[in-house]
Amino acid sequence: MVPSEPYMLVSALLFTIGLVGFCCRRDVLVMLMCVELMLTSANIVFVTAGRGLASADGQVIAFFVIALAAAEVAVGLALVVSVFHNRRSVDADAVTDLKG
Amino acid sequence: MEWLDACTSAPQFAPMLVASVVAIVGGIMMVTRRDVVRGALWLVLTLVAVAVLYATLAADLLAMVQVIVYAGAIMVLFLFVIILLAAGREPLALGQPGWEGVAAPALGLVLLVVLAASVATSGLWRVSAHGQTVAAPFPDEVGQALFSGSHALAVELISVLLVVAMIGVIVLAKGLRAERGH
Repeated sequence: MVPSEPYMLVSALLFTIGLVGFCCRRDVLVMLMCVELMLTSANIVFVTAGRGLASADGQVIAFFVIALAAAEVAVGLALVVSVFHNRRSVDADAVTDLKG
Repeated sequence: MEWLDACTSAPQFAPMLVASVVAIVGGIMMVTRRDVVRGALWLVLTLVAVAVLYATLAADLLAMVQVIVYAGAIMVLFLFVIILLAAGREPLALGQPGWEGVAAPALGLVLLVVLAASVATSGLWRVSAHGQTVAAPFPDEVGQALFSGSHALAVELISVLLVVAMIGVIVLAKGLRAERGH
């Protein structure tokens, strides 16, 4: 079997790509997709560690993360649509004030 | 580095390597495309490649759930919203203006170095580095752990969370309709 280190390195790379994308992009939809990428990379670590420790808990946590990601995407996209209808923009910099 | 020798002798190494390269290339393409639809399609590719990674980790059930829920349902939701909002709209410029555009990749590089160093020095995953085969949990074991024992309460809480999220989305959509009525 493949040892755990390469999986951890792939996960670290994917997380870094997601974080840099989240910081660099201004489109809220792309920022949400970058969050998905970071959650997925965390899942890889959970599954790999679960295998290394011969425990089913890693995969169970990964299931929870997928369910949380589904809820987060639903609410996040509803907010994006709501903001778009008010501001006619998906630019994260367009929403800078609380009153609106 | 003993784990490099263990890599090349494992039969799952070739698919794991291909899936990793595809996942990373897909991630980079997703971040660097100006067009949001193209970015979303690259992310679908990345998520399918991660499902292949799960399969090489002997997490069969999770690989299937990844394809159905993540690459399927969640990304379809993304594409629907992109089509709803982005039709006829000029895509936003890439990158942040000023110092933020330089600081974010530099910070990412620092994070990557820290993560790689922690992977190289941590002993948590040494269990599998010596080439000994650890029995990966079967799908039925994962199901048992999910629905009986200590995780049963967490599963119920997740279902409550999903209902709350659904109600929240309905409230947000209702507010939109009420606003448009004025």
